[in-house]
Amino acid sequence: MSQLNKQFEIFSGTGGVGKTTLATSRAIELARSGNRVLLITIDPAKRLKDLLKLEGEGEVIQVTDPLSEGENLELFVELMNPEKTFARMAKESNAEEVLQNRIVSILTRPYGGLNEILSIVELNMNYLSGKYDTIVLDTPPGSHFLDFLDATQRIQVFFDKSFVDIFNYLGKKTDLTGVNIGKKIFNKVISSGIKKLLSYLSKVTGDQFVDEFIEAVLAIYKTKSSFLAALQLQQTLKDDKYSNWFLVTSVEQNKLEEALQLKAHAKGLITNKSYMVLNKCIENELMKWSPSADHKNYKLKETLLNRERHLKKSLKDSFEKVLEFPEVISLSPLDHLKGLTQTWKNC
Amino acid sequence: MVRTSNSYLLLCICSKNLPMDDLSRFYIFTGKGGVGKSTLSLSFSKYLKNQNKNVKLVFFKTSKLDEGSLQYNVLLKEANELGVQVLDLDLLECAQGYIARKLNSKTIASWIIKTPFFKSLINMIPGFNYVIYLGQILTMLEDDPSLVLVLDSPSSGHALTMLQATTNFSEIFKSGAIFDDTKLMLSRMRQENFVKINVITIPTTLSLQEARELKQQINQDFQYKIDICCNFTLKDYANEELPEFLKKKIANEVEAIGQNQAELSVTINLVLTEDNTSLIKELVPSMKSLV
Repeated sequence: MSQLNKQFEIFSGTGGVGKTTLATSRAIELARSGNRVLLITIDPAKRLKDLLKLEGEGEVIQVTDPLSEGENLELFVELMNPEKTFARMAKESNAEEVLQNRIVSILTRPYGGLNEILSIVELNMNYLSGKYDTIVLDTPPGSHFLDFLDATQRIQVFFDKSFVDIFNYLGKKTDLTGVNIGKKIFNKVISSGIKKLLSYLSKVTGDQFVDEFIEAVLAIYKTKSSFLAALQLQQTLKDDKYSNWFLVTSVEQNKLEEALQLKAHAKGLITNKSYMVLNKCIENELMKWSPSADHKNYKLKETLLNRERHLKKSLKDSFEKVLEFPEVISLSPLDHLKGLTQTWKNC
Repeated sequence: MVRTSNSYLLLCICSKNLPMDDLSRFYIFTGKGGVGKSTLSLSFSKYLKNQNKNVKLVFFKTSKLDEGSLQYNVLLKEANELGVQVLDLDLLECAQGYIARKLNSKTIASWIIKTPFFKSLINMIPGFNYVIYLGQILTMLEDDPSLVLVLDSPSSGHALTMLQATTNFSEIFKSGAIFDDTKLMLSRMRQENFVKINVITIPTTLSLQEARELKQQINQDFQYKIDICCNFTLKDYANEELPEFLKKKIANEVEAIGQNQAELSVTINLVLTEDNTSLIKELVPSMKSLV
């Protein structure tokens, strides 16, 4: 599998399908073949955290091989934490005072709303550090994943449009010394009616909010270099010279439709060339079983078998590369990691 | 928040909405993708309809996945066949309606929502969507005391964003109409027998663990009425003639369920059918346990 190894390995998928465990096992396998690997994961279950002995959030931690105690791997893991990422951005921009802003601190809480945007920034910061051969990213599940993809476009819209609006307005009444705003933005004077807009909004949201929100926007603006740098990453992510995309689904959770939708919407990122990973396959096992046609087990077998076959057929219609992972039947997450790592090795 | 009548007075919490039997007014189905949320929320709505309740199934058209997706259309079709009424809420329509009522002008509202600034505000703060949606939902429940809404919500992270949005927003907006309304929304949501959350999961240790973690996270701010429901269980199909791997799979499942027994309220068997409509119909009787 090492020939497949790229700078970015991105796992996306429909949630609850073993995506995080698959991404983790992939990171372990790549590290075992001698790569320096960073795994960035968002919101894993506690058991997986325990397995990797992850304690802090928002920090890169080197972990030992969870499969064989003590083995020296260049395996690093980071548990995404939006607050910490934003704090780093503020520090890089020499603008740590923005962390005092009340609205900013609410927005950068986990689930505060900036999760996806900040995970792109985090990915980019680690990429730019140049420390890793491969960064394995476990993206948020389902439609979160689309937010993740949209994040870069959102950054663009936000910095292009809103800032022009706001600065047009602010330029007339606020002292902007200390805020480094390009002349270009100032020159882009459009009669946007932002003043009127804000006065209407303040009727709905209260005066205080409008003022504080503008402050928050200014605060975020001060860190814009990190956001804008993250924008450039999208081009790299689209290029299959640098990135492998793995779209994960499982037999147990028939999310074929959702997987195909993800493909349709993740334009240029998930393509026919992406890997479709089908987890928890039991077809081979089922084939060894022949209950008699008049037994109640017959219907059970047929249902399970048809479910899996139908799924595989549809996936192969849409993706050139389908990787099948047999179900690891065990209660221990360690066994799951072991089994999946083995399958990566045999791929 | 958004009134369907012309009044732009604040929501009135001292309403006449008495609970019907032991029903809640607003059911939220949440959990990871692919665990059967949509199917169960549809069957659940059908169950309430069979009880002659005034029930509507709610979708948010927030995700691109929803628009024109086959899955979404299949659900609409199923709902239609089952006679379940569906309400798909459109974000900008809800927002526009709310602002129009607050400013008493449809023209200004339609102008505001078209500005890039407003779109960015909504985009940068996804929780904002949910305050708007929730406002719409609460207003509908307020306006029609017999109405019961069943929400087929996006995957778990989003449900949490939604529930925390009201708390976040009353902190964000310290004054103004939205502030007053989010306060009211919070107290509304926290009335007795008002919200019931069904966290749907599947019978694997990790999924059950995640469902429990989700429940804990939801309960951080307020103890909502929450049930964890484990879908697609195989345990009732156990028999001596199964092959070893299935026996083992079922044994693991039974153990995973056992470990989480204290927190697990409901289990639902895998239904041996491949046709959606009969699947939903077969599930209907067991939906009583999710009330």
